[in-house]
Amino acid sequence: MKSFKDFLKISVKLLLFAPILAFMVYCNYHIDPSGLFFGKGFERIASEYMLDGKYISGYERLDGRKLNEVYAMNVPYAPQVLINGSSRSMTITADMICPNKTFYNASNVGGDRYDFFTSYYIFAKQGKEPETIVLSLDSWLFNPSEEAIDHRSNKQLYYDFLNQELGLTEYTSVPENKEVKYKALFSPSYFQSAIRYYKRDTSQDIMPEIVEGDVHNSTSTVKCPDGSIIYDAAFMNSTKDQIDFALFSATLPHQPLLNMCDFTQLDQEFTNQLELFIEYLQAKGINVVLYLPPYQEFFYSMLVERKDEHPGFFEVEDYCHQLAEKYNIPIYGSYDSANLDLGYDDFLDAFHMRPNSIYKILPVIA
Amino acid sequence: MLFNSLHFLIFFPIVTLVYFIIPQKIKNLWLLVVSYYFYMCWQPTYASLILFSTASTYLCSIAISKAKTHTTKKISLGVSIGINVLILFLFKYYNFFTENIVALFDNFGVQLSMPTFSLLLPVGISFYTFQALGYAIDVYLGTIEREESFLTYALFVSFFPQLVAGPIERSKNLLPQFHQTHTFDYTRAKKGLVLMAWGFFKKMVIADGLATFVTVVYSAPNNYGGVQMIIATVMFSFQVYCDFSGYSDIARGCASVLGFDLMRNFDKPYLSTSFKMFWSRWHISLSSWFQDYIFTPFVWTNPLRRFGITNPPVLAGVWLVFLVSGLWHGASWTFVIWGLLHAVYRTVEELMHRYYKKPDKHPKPLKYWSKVIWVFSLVSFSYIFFRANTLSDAMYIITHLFSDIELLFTNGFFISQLKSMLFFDKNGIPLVLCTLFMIILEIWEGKKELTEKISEQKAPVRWIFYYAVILLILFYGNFGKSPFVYFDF
Repeated sequence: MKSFKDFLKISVKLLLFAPILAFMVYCNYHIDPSGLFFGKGFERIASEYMLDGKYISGYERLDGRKLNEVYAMNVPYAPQVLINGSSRSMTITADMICPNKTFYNASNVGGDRYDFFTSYYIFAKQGKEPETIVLSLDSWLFNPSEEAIDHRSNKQLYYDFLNQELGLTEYTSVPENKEVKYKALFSPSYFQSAIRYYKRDTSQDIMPEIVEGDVHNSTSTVKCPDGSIIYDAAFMNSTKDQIDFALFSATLPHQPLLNMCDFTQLDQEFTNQLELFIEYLQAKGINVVLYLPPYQEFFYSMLVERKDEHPGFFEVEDYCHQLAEKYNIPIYGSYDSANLDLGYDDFLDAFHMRPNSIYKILPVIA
Repeated sequence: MLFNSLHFLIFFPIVTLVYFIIPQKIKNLWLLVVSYYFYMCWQPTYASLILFSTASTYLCSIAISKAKTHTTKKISLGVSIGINVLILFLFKYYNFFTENIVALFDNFGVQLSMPTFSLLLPVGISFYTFQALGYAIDVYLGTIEREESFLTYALFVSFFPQLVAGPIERSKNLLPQFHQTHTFDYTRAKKGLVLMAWGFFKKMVIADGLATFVTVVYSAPNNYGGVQMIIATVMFSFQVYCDFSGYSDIARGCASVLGFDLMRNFDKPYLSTSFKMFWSRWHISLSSWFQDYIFTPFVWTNPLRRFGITNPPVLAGVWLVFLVSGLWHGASWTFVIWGLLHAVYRTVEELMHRYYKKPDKHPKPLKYWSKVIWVFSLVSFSYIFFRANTLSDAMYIITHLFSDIELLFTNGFFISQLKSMLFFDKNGIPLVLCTLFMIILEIWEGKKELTEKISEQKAPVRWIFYYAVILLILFYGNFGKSPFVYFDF
């Protein structure tokens, strides 16, 4: 009996050390030096700024994909409208397509077929499903060539999505190791890293900065709180010579046009995945909107002129319209800017439209 | 399994909980099983070596106790000693021995070829073989009764808290405790946990922290100046002390929680005013082992009588003990020289005391601290051999120790030396403060043990101490895999 009482006594005394454990867990969770709980590095700082409604510069130095992932982890609500795509969709804002809804532009520079799925998946994993998703279908998504893959995209996350969400078991999934997170919470080593991270000298860091003043007149590209970007003033005010030079550079005779290398036919693998994806989204009650971002007229004419190099490209738009019809979903835009009555002044270069011109082709969708 | 591992953090509470729940008659079996598990986490196959040493000593002890003639008794003891020494020789000294024999013959132009083994040194081999040897000698001398139960004796050899790095327990102290009834006791458990926390602090904060700087310098001494070598050597003195005494504290703490008393292994050795005092306070379990089983028998049996020396050969005994002590620490000339250097210290000291003046029992503070610093400096100097990777490294360090001492008073020199040791990048300042904290507490505890001294304080002071120690471990402890220095011995 005495032995039991002694045991209880020491157990109670040991409980008095619980504040130390609580302090460690608190620091490990909130300081989170490796970003296990909130994402890491400057992307985390940037996402915090964005969630505070701030516009930030220095975006080019960040990993845009990581930033989207960190934003998805930390945004306290599910954006009602989500858009995925490449830089060609990055200037689309809430004002253009859903002025009264919460919105996030999850497009990525060089967005490829991996990003196409993972831009949605990073939100879905957090239980933040949108009401509406705008799938910006860049033509190269349908190009089976590996040349159309961007080195920055996350292949494993793409595999995880296909395996775990679309049920395509031939893509090996590496499930998230939650044990790592639990261990980190109670790890003294992680605590020490947290303290070092907390005390770190940030004077030498190149941090993302909050843009003060007119965000449309910035010297660098500005990342908006809704994930969209505003190009820097110099790019926005490009002269005709500069635009012509950009067009010329994008259409050099002996080089394949943007991501058109070996584009001989539609990638059946991708089209299957895309259809499964649409069915999956619709099964969840998510509205799907398709968007074909246009190319500048000169660039498109070069696509046509060199059509033997990339015959697959010319199948994409028809396929997309069939898809829209099959799943009864709206489709906007066209790769051929002539179809949309867009002219020379509507583009900043061969691929990127002026933001104001987007209003001409994308209506308010939600 | 390392004490400073997550594995042990899970292992120990389970062992304790089960130990106090199960019936008394299977408690020892439980401790034996977990002790072997503890050892086998490191290298399972070498558990058979402990078992072999245990079984052979156990059988020899039966033979000793049942021997009808003194000769049979002596032979049985000889067999027991022979087996344990042979195990030690094969696994620890064989390659050292053959290399030196080959090198010796090579000097005379004789090419000798001897086989070498690439065996991993079994962790704790010197500890458990010495413990087993001590038992056999005790049975022979009649100091203790032979242990009837093989299980209890096996537990005595392999008791996990002290299995891999001591304290080297005496059969007289530990064996009877396995026959006692152990129930959970608050005071014991509290004392044990405080001792463990203090041991973890010394190991994980101070020893592991200092190891970083010491390793930097001792890995490539020719990249560093004399001042840096002096700093690294002093740091190593504290590293090895905190590492080993930290281990001993954790071991004693574990045992205390389980209801056992292990002998104190360190008693503020760096506050010694003589080398005799130092060796009565440093690695006490080994020093007293040497004292009881080598020095005393050697002096009183006086094997030098046949050479005409009739007085007890005390100094020869000192040299013998330090030679064995050096070899015990490692199969390397650096350890042998380290041991012999201490033999020199002790001899000079003994002669001075004999022919010049006996030391004051209560010296004045200035004299006391001068002596403490003097002894500490010479002990630290001897550690150059203990820590250096090779004999030539040790010689390089010794010959360059004061190479840039004159620059010490140049403005900014000391700081630049510390900077090049990464001192400011690697928690150097908190580490120095933690070391000072430990030194101050050791001075403050006086003749008592820290746990006793702390338990005498009022609750707020005690809790400030507990919290301070745990927070310091949390903030500055090394939580990586870091074995204890004495595991290699």
